[in-house]
Amino acid sequence: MNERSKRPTGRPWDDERLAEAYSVLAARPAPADLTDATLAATEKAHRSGRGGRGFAWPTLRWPRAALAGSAIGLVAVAILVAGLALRSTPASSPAIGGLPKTVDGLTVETVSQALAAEASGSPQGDGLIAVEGWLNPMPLPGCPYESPHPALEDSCTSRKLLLTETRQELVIIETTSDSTTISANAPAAPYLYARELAGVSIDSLPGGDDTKPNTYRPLQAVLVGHFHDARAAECGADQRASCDSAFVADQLAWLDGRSLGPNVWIGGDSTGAVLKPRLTTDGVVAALRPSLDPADAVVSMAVVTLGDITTLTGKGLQASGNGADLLWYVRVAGPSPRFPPMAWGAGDSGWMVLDDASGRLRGAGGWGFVSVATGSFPPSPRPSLSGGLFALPTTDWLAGGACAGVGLEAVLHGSPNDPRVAWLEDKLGGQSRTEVTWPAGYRARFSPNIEVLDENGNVVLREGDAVGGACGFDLDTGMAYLEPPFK
Amino acid sequence: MSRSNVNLRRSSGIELGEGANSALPGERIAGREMVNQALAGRSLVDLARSGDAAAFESLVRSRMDAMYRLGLAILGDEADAADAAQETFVAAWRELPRLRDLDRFDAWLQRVAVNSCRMVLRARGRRRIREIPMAELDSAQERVLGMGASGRADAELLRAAIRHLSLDQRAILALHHLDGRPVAEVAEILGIPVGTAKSRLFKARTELEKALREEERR
Repeated sequence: MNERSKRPTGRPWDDERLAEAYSVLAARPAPADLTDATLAATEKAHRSGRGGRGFAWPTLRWPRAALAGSAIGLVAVAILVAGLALRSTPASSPAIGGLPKTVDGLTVETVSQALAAEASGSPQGDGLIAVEGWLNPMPLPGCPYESPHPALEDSCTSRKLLLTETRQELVIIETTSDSTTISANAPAAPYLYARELAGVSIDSLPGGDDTKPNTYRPLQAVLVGHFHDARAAECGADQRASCDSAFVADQLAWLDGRSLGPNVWIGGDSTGAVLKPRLTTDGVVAALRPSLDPADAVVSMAVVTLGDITTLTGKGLQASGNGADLLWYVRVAGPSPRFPPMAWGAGDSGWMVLDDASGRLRGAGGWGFVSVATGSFPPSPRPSLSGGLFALPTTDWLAGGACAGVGLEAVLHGSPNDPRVAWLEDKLGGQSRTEVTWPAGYRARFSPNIEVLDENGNVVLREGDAVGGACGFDLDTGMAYLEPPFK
Repeated sequence: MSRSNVNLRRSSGIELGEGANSALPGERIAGREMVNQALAGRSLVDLARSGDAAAFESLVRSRMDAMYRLGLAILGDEADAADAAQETFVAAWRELPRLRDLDRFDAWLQRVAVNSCRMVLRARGRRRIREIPMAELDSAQERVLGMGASGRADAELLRAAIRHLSLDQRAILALHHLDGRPVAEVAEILGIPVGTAKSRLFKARTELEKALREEERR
């Protein structure tokens, strides 16, 4: 009977149907002789010496292992990729010929130039740079089990992008009648061993399919990425330095003669649910455009929940609000944004966060600035809330970087008759009142002096308490945006 | 049951004495010794890691079907699945000394299985095709055949559709949908962050549904 003639139509391929199909597809026990054949093959391997079976650890070659053919003629190869340092010492620069001189408004640098710049502290912070070279698809290694580890820590399983300054065939496939060996030479030229992270995973990478010819052919490419990723702080002490100096790829901007657009990543939330943003990528760009400088270019876009955003930004970011809110985390190259009117630094790249539901800007950072300010706030408090609580001017802005230390030497004051309820005064009495905006959910009460409560109802500040720092100031109004900790 | 028995079950996930029961007559002493060592507090995985062939045989016998099924779900081909399952255990025997966390043996073994499937896929064009005799189909397969035309048709659609996917996509889908493993467990098996697993699963599912629709239209 023709199975296809009986195929159901119109029924959606939901989880139930898919699970049933998988169950039927795989509902067969192993062939009766397979266990014995396997044990025989294992015994053969055992006789050849366990632990040293074909492994070689040459100085200039990556470890390789070619397995003996099995009883049914299987030829398999295991690769272990290990032992490469993150970066090599800068050396001579090749000619750029054929490559764009700029991508995303960034000057394209050679690997050597990028390494030298990083060593000299440029670009500032985690600013974006564009680096050209030869992208070398690498075989996927066979890795032993690893416990979960910080995103930036080097590990066998983390995918890395090897960008060499000059073209070099690094992967060597040797096939004989009964075995195949894949080995990989260490690069002879300067190289970047770029990290690819969850949240900015690059789908457009070539390679990974041994059934196709030229799988491991080096391709000329331009990567846009950054050093000094904030997530380096999460690495263990022994790896923190290498994490900090690792090049993290945000975008594969150009590959083998083709310009590629912004890297877009839409994942799932922490419960496994698929994220379904309302906005399209074009919609996000359109929503951001009024805030951006005309010369700005979007490098990457990732959809993430507010609760998960620190997986992209590192834990320094303060996020208040509904953890299920969908956000677009967008990395931008170019001049600092027009809005918010902050005292941006000298950096030429940064990030912005857009609320998917409202299409409203909720945060920004980078551009040489250590913190962010609010995008919107009410000019005065709302009427008193029930239970004797007073509304405070609040913002759901996401504060990036270190919020403390902007430079306050102030104390808290408040009055139920004041339109903004609470304010700061210079501790030394040399400056008058400073207006403040609070995190989302903050309220105040008077008993009889002011007490500021956080979103959970905990008293976090009282009348006369010292406030040692703010996240930033609005340049036009001088208003301070406060984020905990306040002292 | 003694405390040692409980420990053995917990650490290896198989019944005490399984290796002894399945050993050939000449191997029973070794199997019994293995059990004795297990009773002394060493798990089968620990014993196998230190080179105990009888312990490893027990591990192979208790997990062969599961590895074969995983191979079928990823590769969609009986001969390939058999190759992958065999390669899984050969590689496991070789790599066991490198396994640090014995309690993670099963997750580790499944990762080895996924890698073995990758190797088989790479080598597919170079190896001979081994036919599975019909006589090997047992009652389990008969149950499959008795599942009805729609179930078999869906399985055939799935078998055809997964060939349009990359190995990584096939693997994450199989790990998630074959036995209903949560994403966190799939991530652990594949050695990737949970967020990455979710993203890859989403994309793989999207690709699979597209391939399934194309197969349905054929």
